[in-house]
Amino acid sequence: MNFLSHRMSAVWKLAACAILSLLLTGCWDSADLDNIAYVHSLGVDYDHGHYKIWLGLIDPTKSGIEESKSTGETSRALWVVYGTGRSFLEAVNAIYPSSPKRVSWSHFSLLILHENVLRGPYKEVIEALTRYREVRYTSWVYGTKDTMGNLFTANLPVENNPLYYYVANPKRVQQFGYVVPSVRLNEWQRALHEPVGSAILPQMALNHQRDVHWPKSKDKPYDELLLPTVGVFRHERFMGWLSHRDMLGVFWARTGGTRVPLFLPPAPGSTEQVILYIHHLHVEIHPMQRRHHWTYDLKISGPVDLAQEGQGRAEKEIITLAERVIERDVRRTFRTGVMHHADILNITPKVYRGALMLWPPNTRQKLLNNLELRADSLRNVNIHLTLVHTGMRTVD
Amino acid sequence: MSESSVLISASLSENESWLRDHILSNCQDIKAVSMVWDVGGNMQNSLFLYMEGTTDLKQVSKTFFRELEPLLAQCVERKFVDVVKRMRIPEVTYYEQWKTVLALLFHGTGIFFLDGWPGALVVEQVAKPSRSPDEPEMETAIRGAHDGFVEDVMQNLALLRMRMPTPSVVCEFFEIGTLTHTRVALVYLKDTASPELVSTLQARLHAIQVDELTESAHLEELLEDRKFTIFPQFDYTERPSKLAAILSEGRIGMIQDTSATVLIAPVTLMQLLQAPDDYNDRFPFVVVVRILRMIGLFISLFLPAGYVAATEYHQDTIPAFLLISLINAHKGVPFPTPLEAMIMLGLFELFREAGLRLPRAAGQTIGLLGTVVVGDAAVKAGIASAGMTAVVGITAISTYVVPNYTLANAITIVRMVILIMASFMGYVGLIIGAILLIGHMASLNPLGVSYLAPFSPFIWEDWRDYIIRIKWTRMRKKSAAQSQTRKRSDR
Repeated sequence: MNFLSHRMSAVWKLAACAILSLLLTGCWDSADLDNIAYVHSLGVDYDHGHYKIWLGLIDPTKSGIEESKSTGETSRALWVVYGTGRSFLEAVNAIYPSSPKRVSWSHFSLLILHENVLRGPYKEVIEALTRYREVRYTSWVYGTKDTMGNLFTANLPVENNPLYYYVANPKRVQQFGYVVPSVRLNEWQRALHEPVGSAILPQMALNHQRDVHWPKSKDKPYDELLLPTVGVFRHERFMGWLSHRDMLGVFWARTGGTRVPLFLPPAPGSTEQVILYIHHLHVEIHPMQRRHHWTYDLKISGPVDLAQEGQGRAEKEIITLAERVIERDVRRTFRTGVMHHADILNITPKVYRGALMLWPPNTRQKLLNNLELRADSLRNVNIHLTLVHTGMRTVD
Repeated sequence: MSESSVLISASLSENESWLRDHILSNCQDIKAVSMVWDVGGNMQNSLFLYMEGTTDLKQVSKTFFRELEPLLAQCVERKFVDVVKRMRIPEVTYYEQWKTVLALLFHGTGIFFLDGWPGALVVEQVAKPSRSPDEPEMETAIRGAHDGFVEDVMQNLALLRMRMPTPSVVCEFFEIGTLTHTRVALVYLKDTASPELVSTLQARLHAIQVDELTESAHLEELLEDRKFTIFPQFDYTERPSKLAAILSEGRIGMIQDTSATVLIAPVTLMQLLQAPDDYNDRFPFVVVVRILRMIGLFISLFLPAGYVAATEYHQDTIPAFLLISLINAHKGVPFPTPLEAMIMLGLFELFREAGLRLPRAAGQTIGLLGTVVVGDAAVKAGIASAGMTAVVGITAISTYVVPNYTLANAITIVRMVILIMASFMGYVGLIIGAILLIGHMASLNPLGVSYLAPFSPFIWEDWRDYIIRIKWTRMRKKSAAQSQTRKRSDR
């Protein structure tokens, strides 16, 4: 009997817990998934104290399976909403009342910051954004120089739909074509707060030379989204965009990376270019201390595929030429960085991480000063390429 | 029935009048035939009682009567004991008490009384109604043995002995039910089964005090440790081959009259997930199937709850493209997802029940109607989304990869409870439900063996047969029994 009453009291306690749990906030917080507007992308522009934001909300009717099968008509998979305000959050909150559905940030995956914001209060924007619990830190982040409105309302080819590009996995898209590395918000933030090295942020741009790559559809020219270059940050400050020539050094001095085409000039007396594909580069940084200053040797090695042989060049000659071109690109990017006091190639973290143990806390600033790059800091650049694939024919 | 316990009188007229008053007037299927026999030169009256339709009269007259006649003629002492000793028919026995004689009469034996002789002869030549040992429908195997148990305990024992002709297989009879006198045979392997387990079951079988016992499910309820649980605490089988395998593992079987289902004890959750075909196939395939079955168990328990929790509370856990197609599917459905899930699962249970109750041919029609027509119509009419129909369909199919029907039924209820919790609290509710479920199963200890055995307590040797199935020749024999006895000695 005692056992029974004990058991019954346990049952009552359990039932009470179950009923009380209905009072928890979560219990009545449910919403059917079609009664929610999902923010996919956010663009932020800034102009003298005024924030302008664009929200791309997922339009399920445009991106469903049936839609893509049926018409083939170009349609944006996003509703684009526009809001302004004197602060970032005011601009966001200006949008909410107009939305017929609850706005959810749980699928937020693309953040585009305008150059104006990057030069101005981008830190406040990031802080306000990430303070909201629904926002994930893993969204892809880009900078831009273009008018934000044009980016959001671009008329993209079906397969170039931003939803399909950047929701999925930009890294996979970069395997061909896009070679500028995409970064996630958390990666970018981590790099921004590093005391050494530099953070890079890819630039998103519209291809203004319309009709160059994609044919017209129904007299409407397609726009094209490109990632032409990267912006460089040092000590959380935006330094500017790299030129295309300076970008090349960034490609070469990264471990891993994608298949990068290398166009070599034709041999004397020939008009045919030599084209190589370089992939899976392996970069080693060997720092060396000279009194109050560190120098670095770079060793870059990797396999090369021969795409177009050209005429009048031997295999060894091609490789040597390619190695020389790469060394030139790397040194040029390095020099540009030194001119702007930025370590674009990110070679100093090697010392900072490796030697941190040797430096007592009070001498940290001294170490950082020693790590400032000078024109002669980059000593040797050893490039070692191996030709692994020449197609069906061997090089004569 | 105070008279029934007394001795059978020597006077035939006394016996006959008693029989007429108590048996023959009430039970008209019992027939009495009077005969006159030559006993040592004197003619004497006799009475032969039999049950119509059950007693094998042809055999009785061919053997018993033919054998009896010369024996009685040469008889000097008026004792049945001497006659039985000299008789060449093993089915004939001598009893003195009414009680035993009457019990046997209703099993279809013939009873022979002779005037002036105390006691009675019982001829156990019975042709009981029985069917052939066909393959059970619930437990079919593609390869291997295709015979199944029937409703007669002796025939079932014969099917078992055919596989294990050894004195190590112990068989003990228990008679349960004051009305039904149901015979229950406790069978186990003497050297392998844990003696504690055997004595526990023996004690429980002895302690049973009921009027009737007709189904093995009743016996199961009478023997189980915990009454308030929906999980089965006994396994069952209708396959003699499975029973033989079970005995060699050191587990115990209870064969029961009037039921073709043999109870198996003890049992763990993982053992309930084993199917007869697991031992008829190549072992690498069986490993895959076992894993698949466990995945099926998880799907059938958690899929509707997980779907509801994800779509109602945690949309961020759904990949973007899946989310888009789910949104499009749910568009225009008037019910919130939890209600939709409960409606669809309820409909499924309804169709299942209807399919079970109808004759087999019509049952298939219901299944087809339910899945194809109603499911499609529900989606088209906007009552349910296509996503939900898919979820319920997958869940329903997954439930039936579980070989044990009782466990499959238990899953149905647990699934509903977890679904309700997930509808209120999202993933938190689902996890609370899972914790309560695991806690409950861990608290089950049927006959001292942990229900979650190879996981908790962790018994590595048992993984090779319960979770995966290694090569049969490598499976260390009787591992189950060893782990169970070890478990018991630990306690």
